[in-house]
Amino acid sequence: MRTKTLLLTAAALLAAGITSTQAQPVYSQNVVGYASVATPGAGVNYLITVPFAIGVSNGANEIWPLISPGNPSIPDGSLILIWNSATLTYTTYQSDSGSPTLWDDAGGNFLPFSPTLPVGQGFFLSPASPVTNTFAGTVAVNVGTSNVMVLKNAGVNYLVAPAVPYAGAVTNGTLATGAGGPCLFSPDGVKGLPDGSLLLIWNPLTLKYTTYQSDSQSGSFWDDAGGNALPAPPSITVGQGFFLSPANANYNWTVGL
Amino acid sequence: MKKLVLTTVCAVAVTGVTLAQNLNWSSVPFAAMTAETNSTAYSPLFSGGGTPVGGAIGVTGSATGTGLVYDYELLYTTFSGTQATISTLSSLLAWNDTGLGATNGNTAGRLTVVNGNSAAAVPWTGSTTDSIVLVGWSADLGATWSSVSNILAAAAAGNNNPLQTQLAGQLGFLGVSTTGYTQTGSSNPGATVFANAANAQGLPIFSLLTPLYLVPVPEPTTLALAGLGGLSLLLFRRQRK
Repeated sequence: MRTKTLLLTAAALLAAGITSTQAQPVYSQNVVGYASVATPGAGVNYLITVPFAIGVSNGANEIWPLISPGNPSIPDGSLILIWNSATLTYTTYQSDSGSPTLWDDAGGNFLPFSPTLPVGQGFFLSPASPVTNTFAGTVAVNVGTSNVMVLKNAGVNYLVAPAVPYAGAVTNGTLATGAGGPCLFSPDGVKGLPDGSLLLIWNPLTLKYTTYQSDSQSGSFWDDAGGNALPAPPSITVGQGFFLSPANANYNWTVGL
Repeated sequence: MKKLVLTTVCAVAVTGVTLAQNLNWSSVPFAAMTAETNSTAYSPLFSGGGTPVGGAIGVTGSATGTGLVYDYELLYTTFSGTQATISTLSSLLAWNDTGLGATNGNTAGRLTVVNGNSAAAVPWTGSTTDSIVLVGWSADLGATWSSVSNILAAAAAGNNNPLQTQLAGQLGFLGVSTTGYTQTGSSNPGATVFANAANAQGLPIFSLLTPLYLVPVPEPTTLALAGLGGLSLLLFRRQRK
């Protein structure tokens, strides 16, 4: 009896193992991970993004949950500024571990909801004290698939971020070698970003943006704000957001994994 | 002529861009700035005030809960190279008004900005550092910093009549935050006004439980008694002659 049970158990375990092995490719399409995004200056505005799908809705209360009662994972009184590309204004929210939703409005009044910070959206974070944000979740784009973000209007500043965790140059290759490999944007003429589109990268220390213009005729595919060819494309780090102003309407920004 | 107009328009546009000096006035974070009333003491900005008996200290009430309104205004002045101090009413009145205001929020002790703007323009020259301070007062002293400062200027000059008339027997509160200093930004969001640490632009205001002290108002009866005393002395002196 004991042997039979043991065998049955072994068989069951083996079957489970086989099932698990067979199912592996399916499960591996959901890639999980985490990113540490440092925001070391109190009251400094950092332009960041949450590069993973977290919780049910990427609510700010799911991204920065309570570690324990009264012990928030983001310092109370930290501000997030969410951009509205239609009104060209920010809505400000304050973190508050005493609020039922963990968030207040700009005036410090409890909010009945928590603001959401979906993957692909950039936002400003001004921490009340230095903090390293740990964003742990699922990559929003499955392996072998792509995410398409439609930026409808030409010349409008959209506060965006890659749909996948990404660090490096925003385009790969040069005019001589041609575009290749993984990149955020494909130069115009391949599948991509219309020439003359603007990319604005924030510097939290100087409170200034550096503006880049996409240019498929430039050696790096990028010019400076004055239209002069740059030797290298701009780069970003994981968890960094930026403004993108497409030169043409209905630009489909495709990011794959 | 068209060229001239175009040139002028361009010049104005460029000037406009150059002059846009921004502060982030979208929120007053409660981790860096809150306020309380303090009726145990008269405002140290006024000289000669005694110590009231039976006062209390407590965070400013919520606008919805108490109905009491407290107003705040961000002031600025030339940065001297060190953190500014404000020790007298006259020194406070020498500061300039940025035009950026706040009031008490719906949560006790907290503030909410009026006309929030993450890139609020301020009237000082770009790339210079200016000192900043938040002055707060109970609304019975006046609805705007302009009217309150006029009343306080009269009081500083020894004329308490406007103050007495304005308060009409009510308690008035006045206080200033710790000072800071900052450069402005030309982008959106602008420079940070409130935070608990210095940054590349300067030193934001960090002033938790900023005390709003009682404003001393000489009682009319006190004034009358002082007048009577003076008159008696005068009569007594004449009789002796």
